[in-house]
Amino acid sequence: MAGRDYMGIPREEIPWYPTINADLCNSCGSCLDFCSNNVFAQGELHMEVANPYNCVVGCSACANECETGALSFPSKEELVKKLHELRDKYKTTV
Amino acid sequence: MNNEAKSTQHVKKAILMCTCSFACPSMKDINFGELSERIRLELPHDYMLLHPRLCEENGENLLADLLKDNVLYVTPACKEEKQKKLLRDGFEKAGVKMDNNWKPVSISFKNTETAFNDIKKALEEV
Ligand code: SF4
Ligand code: SF4
Ligand code: SF4
Repeated sequence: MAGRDYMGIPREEIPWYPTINADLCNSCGSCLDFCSNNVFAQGELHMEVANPYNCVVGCSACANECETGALSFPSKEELVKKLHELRDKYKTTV
Repeated sequence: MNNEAKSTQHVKKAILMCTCSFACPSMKDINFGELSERIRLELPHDYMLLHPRLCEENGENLLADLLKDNVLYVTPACKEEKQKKLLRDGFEKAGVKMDNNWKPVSISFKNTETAFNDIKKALEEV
Protein backbone atom coordinates (compact mmCIF):
# COMPACT_ATOMS: atom_id res chain seq x y z
CA MET A 1 0.00 0.00 0.00
CA ALA A 2 1.71 3.19 -1.13
CA GLY A 3 1.34 6.40 0.83
CA ARG A 4 0.10 9.64 -0.66
CA ASP A 5 2.16 12.69 -1.34
CA TYR A 6 1.70 15.26 1.37
CA MET A 7 1.47 18.88 0.21
CA GLY A 8 3.28 17.84 -2.95
CA ILE A 9 6.19 16.40 -0.97
CA PRO A 10 7.10 12.72 -1.49
CA ARG A 11 6.02 10.88 1.64
CA GLU A 12 9.40 9.22 2.14
CA GLU A 13 11.02 12.62 2.66
CA ILE A 14 8.94 13.38 5.74
CA PRO A 15 10.27 11.88 8.96
CA TRP A 16 6.90 11.30 10.62
CA TYR A 17 6.13 7.88 12.03
CA PRO A 18 5.95 6.20 15.43
CA THR A 19 9.05 5.18 17.33
CA ILE A 20 8.71 2.21 19.66
CA ASN A 21 10.58 2.14 22.93
CA ALA A 22 11.54 -1.53 23.05
CA ASP A 23 12.00 -1.43 26.82
CA LEU A 24 8.40 -0.34 27.31
CA CYS A 25 6.66 -2.39 24.63
CA ASN A 26 4.97 -5.55 25.94
CA SER A 27 3.74 -6.70 22.51
CA CYS A 28 0.11 -6.28 23.51
CA GLY A 29 -0.89 -5.62 19.89
CA SER A 30 -3.20 -2.66 20.57
CA CYS A 31 -1.38 -0.41 18.09
CA LEU A 32 -1.44 -3.12 15.45
CA ASP A 33 -5.20 -3.61 15.88
CA PHE A 34 -5.88 0.11 15.93
CA CYS A 35 -4.08 1.32 12.82
CA SER A 36 -5.48 0.33 9.42
CA ASN A 37 -2.38 1.28 7.51
CA ASN A 38 -0.11 -1.69 7.97
CA VAL A 39 2.44 0.45 9.80
CA PHE A 40 3.10 -2.05 12.59
CA ALA A 41 4.20 -5.69 12.54
CA GLN A 42 4.68 -8.02 15.47
CA GLY A 43 8.41 -8.70 15.80
CA GLU A 44 10.02 -11.51 17.75
CA LEU A 45 10.78 -9.43 20.81
CA HIS A 46 8.45 -6.48 20.52
CA MET A 47 6.24 -4.60 18.08
CA GLU A 48 8.07 -3.13 15.11
CA VAL A 49 7.41 -0.26 12.72
CA ALA A 50 7.43 -2.18 9.46
CA ASN A 51 6.08 0.47 7.07
CA PRO A 52 6.85 3.88 8.56
CA TYR A 53 5.79 5.82 5.49
CA ASN A 54 2.29 4.38 5.63
CA CYS A 55 1.80 6.48 8.76
CA VAL A 56 -0.42 9.50 8.11
CA VAL A 57 1.65 12.66 8.48
CA GLY A 58 0.66 14.41 11.69
CA CYS A 59 -1.38 11.50 13.08
CA SER A 60 -0.43 10.19 16.50
CA ALA A 61 -3.72 8.53 17.39
CA CYS A 62 -2.22 5.12 18.21
CA ALA A 63 -0.10 6.63 21.00
CA ASN A 64 -3.28 6.93 23.08
CA GLU A 65 -3.89 3.22 22.63
CA CYS A 66 -0.53 2.25 24.07
CA GLU A 67 -0.93 1.73 27.80
CA THR A 68 2.81 1.52 28.48
CA GLY A 69 3.71 4.77 26.73
CA ALA A 70 6.03 2.97 24.30
CA LEU A 71 4.99 4.97 21.25
CA SER A 72 6.34 8.41 20.52
CA PHE A 73 6.29 10.87 17.63
CA PRO A 74 8.21 14.01 16.67
CA SER A 75 6.74 17.24 18.00
CA LYS A 76 4.34 19.28 15.90
CA GLU A 77 6.91 22.11 15.90
CA GLU A 78 9.57 19.79 14.45
CA LEU A 79 7.09 18.65 11.81
CA VAL A 80 6.18 22.19 10.80
CA LYS A 81 9.87 23.18 10.57
CA LYS A 82 10.66 20.17 8.40
CA LEU A 83 7.69 20.83 6.14
CA HIS A 84 8.89 24.42 5.61
CA GLU A 85 12.28 23.10 4.48
CA LEU A 86 10.72 20.50 2.21
CA ARG A 87 8.26 22.93 0.66
CA ASP A 88 11.21 25.16 -0.22
CA LYS A 89 12.99 22.16 -1.72
CA TYR A 90 9.99 21.10 -3.78
CA LYS A 91 8.80 24.67 -4.37
CA THR A 92 5.23 23.92 -3.42
CA THR A 93 3.05 26.89 -2.59
CA VAL A 94 0.88 25.70 0.25
CA MET B 1 -21.51 -1.36 19.19
CA ASN B 2 -24.73 0.29 18.20
CA ASN B 3 -24.13 2.45 15.18
CA GLU B 4 -27.79 3.19 14.58
CA ALA B 5 -28.80 6.64 15.69
CA LYS B 6 -31.85 6.08 17.84
CA SER B 7 -33.82 9.28 17.85
CA THR B 8 -36.34 10.18 15.15
CA GLN B 9 -36.75 13.86 16.01
CA HIS B 10 -33.70 15.12 14.17
CA VAL B 11 -34.64 18.13 12.12
CA LYS B 12 -31.46 18.11 10.04
CA LYS B 13 -28.95 15.67 8.60
CA ALA B 14 -25.36 16.83 8.39
CA ILE B 15 -22.29 15.18 6.92
CA LEU B 16 -18.98 15.73 8.66
CA MET B 17 -16.33 14.17 6.48
CA CYS B 18 -12.84 13.64 7.82
CA THR B 19 -10.17 13.57 5.11
CA CYS B 20 -7.37 12.30 7.38
CA SER B 21 -5.10 15.09 6.11
CA PHE B 22 -5.74 13.86 2.54
CA ALA B 23 -2.80 11.62 3.35
CA CYS B 24 -4.08 8.30 4.67
CA PRO B 25 -2.94 5.38 2.51
CA SER B 26 -6.26 3.65 3.22
CA MET B 27 -8.05 6.56 1.51
CA LYS B 28 -5.67 6.95 -1.42
CA ASP B 29 -8.33 5.94 -3.96
CA ILE B 30 -10.77 8.62 -2.84
CA ASN B 31 -10.93 11.90 -4.71
CA PHE B 32 -12.35 14.08 -1.93
CA GLY B 33 -13.14 16.93 -4.30
CA GLU B 34 -15.26 14.72 -6.51
CA LEU B 35 -16.79 12.88 -3.57
CA SER B 36 -17.89 16.02 -1.73
CA GLU B 37 -19.31 17.60 -4.87
CA ARG B 38 -21.28 14.47 -5.73
CA ILE B 39 -22.62 14.31 -2.18
CA ARG B 40 -23.63 17.95 -2.33
CA LEU B 41 -25.42 17.53 -5.66
CA GLU B 42 -27.00 14.13 -5.28
CA LEU B 43 -27.63 13.12 -1.67
CA PRO B 44 -30.37 14.34 0.67
CA HIS B 45 -28.78 16.23 3.56
CA ASP B 46 -28.80 19.74 4.98
CA TYR B 47 -25.10 20.57 4.96
CA MET B 48 -21.64 19.09 4.84
CA LEU B 49 -18.17 19.99 5.91
CA LEU B 50 -14.78 18.49 5.29
CA HIS B 51 -12.15 18.60 7.98
CA PRO B 52 -8.59 17.27 7.77
CA ARG B 53 -8.39 15.87 11.30
CA LEU B 54 -11.58 15.70 13.29
CA CYS B 55 -9.92 13.62 16.00
CA GLU B 56 -7.39 16.19 17.14
CA GLU B 57 -7.68 19.47 18.99
CA ASN B 58 -8.75 21.58 16.03
CA GLY B 59 -11.41 19.06 15.06
CA GLU B 60 -12.59 18.59 18.63
CA ASN B 61 -12.94 22.33 19.03
CA LEU B 62 -15.08 22.39 15.91
CA LEU B 63 -17.28 19.54 17.16
CA ALA B 64 -17.61 21.17 20.56
CA ASP B 65 -18.79 24.39 18.93
CA LEU B 66 -20.92 22.93 16.16
CA LEU B 67 -22.79 19.86 17.34
CA LYS B 68 -26.44 20.21 18.28
CA ASP B 69 -28.98 17.82 19.71
CA ASN B 70 -31.48 18.07 16.89
CA VAL B 71 -29.05 17.21 14.11
CA LEU B 72 -28.04 13.76 12.95
CA TYR B 73 -24.37 13.60 12.05
CA VAL B 74 -23.10 11.16 9.45
CA THR B 75 -19.30 10.97 9.63
CA PRO B 76 -17.42 9.45 6.71
CA ALA B 77 -13.92 8.78 8.12
CA CYS B 78 -11.76 5.90 9.36
CA LYS B 79 -13.23 2.57 10.47
CA GLU B 80 -16.27 2.84 12.72
CA GLU B 81 -14.73 1.47 15.93
CA LYS B 82 -11.81 3.83 15.53
CA GLN B 83 -14.10 6.81 15.00
CA LYS B 84 -16.04 5.90 18.11
CA LYS B 85 -12.91 6.28 20.21
CA LEU B 86 -11.48 9.25 18.37
CA LEU B 87 -14.59 11.43 18.08
CA ARG B 88 -15.96 10.72 21.55
CA ASP B 89 -14.28 13.70 23.21
CA GLY B 90 -15.66 16.14 20.64
CA PHE B 91 -19.22 14.87 21.15
CA GLU B 92 -18.77 14.93 24.91
CA LYS B 93 -17.51 18.51 24.85
CA ALA B 94 -20.58 19.49 22.84
CA GLY B 95 -22.88 17.65 25.26
CA VAL B 96 -24.36 15.65 22.37
CA LYS B 97 -24.88 11.91 22.71
CA MET B 98 -23.18 9.72 20.13
CA ASP B 99 -25.84 7.03 20.58
CA ASN B 100 -28.59 9.40 19.47
CA ASN B 101 -26.95 11.75 17.04
CA TRP B 102 -24.17 9.92 15.23
CA LYS B 103 -23.85 7.50 12.36
CA PRO B 104 -20.30 6.60 11.31
CA VAL B 105 -19.39 5.45 7.82
CA SER B 106 -16.01 3.87 7.20
CA ILE B 107 -14.39 5.11 4.01
CA SER B 108 -11.17 3.20 4.72
CA PHE B 109 -10.10 1.10 1.74
CA LYS B 110 -12.87 2.51 -0.44
CA ASN B 111 -12.69 4.36 -3.72
CA THR B 112 -14.74 7.44 -4.59
CA GLU B 113 -17.64 5.39 -5.95
CA THR B 114 -17.88 2.89 -3.09
CA ALA B 115 -17.47 5.65 -0.50
CA PHE B 116 -20.28 7.60 -2.17
CA ASN B 117 -22.55 4.56 -2.19
CA ASP B 118 -21.86 3.79 1.47
CA ILE B 119 -22.59 7.38 2.48
CA LYS B 120 -25.79 7.25 0.44
CA LYS B 121 -26.81 4.04 2.20
CA ALA B 122 -26.08 5.56 5.62
CA LEU B 123 -28.24 8.58 4.83
CA GLU B 124 -31.07 6.31 3.71
CA GLU B 125 -30.87 4.31 6.93
CA VAL B 126 -31.22 7.24 9.31
S1 SF4 C 1 0.38 -0.69 22.00
FE1 SF4 C 1 2.37 -0.16 22.93
S2 SF4 C 1 2.89 -1.90 24.24
FE2 SF4 C 1 1.27 -2.58 22.84
S3 SF4 C 1 2.36 -3.52 21.12
FE3 SF4 C 1 1.99 -1.37 20.57
S4 SF4 C 1 3.86 -0.29 21.24
FE4 SF4 C 1 3.86 -2.28 22.26
S1 SF4 D 1 -0.09 7.61 13.97
FE1 SF4 D 1 -2.01 7.09 12.96
S2 SF4 D 1 -1.44 6.38 10.91
FE2 SF4 D 1 0.44 6.47 12.15
S3 SF4 D 1 0.71 4.42 12.92
FE3 SF4 D 1 -0.45 5.52 14.48
S4 SF4 D 1 -2.65 5.24 14.01
FE4 SF4 D 1 -1.42 4.58 12.22
S1 SF4 E 1 -10.87 10.72 12.76
FE1 SF4 E 1 -10.03 8.96 11.66
S2 SF4 E 1 -10.05 9.64 9.52
FE2 SF4 E 1 -10.16 11.48 10.79
S3 SF4 E 1 -8.04 12.18 11.08
FE3 SF4 E 1 -8.62 10.89 12.84
S4 SF4 E 1 -7.85 8.87 12.25
FE4 SF4 E 1 -7.98 10.06 10.34
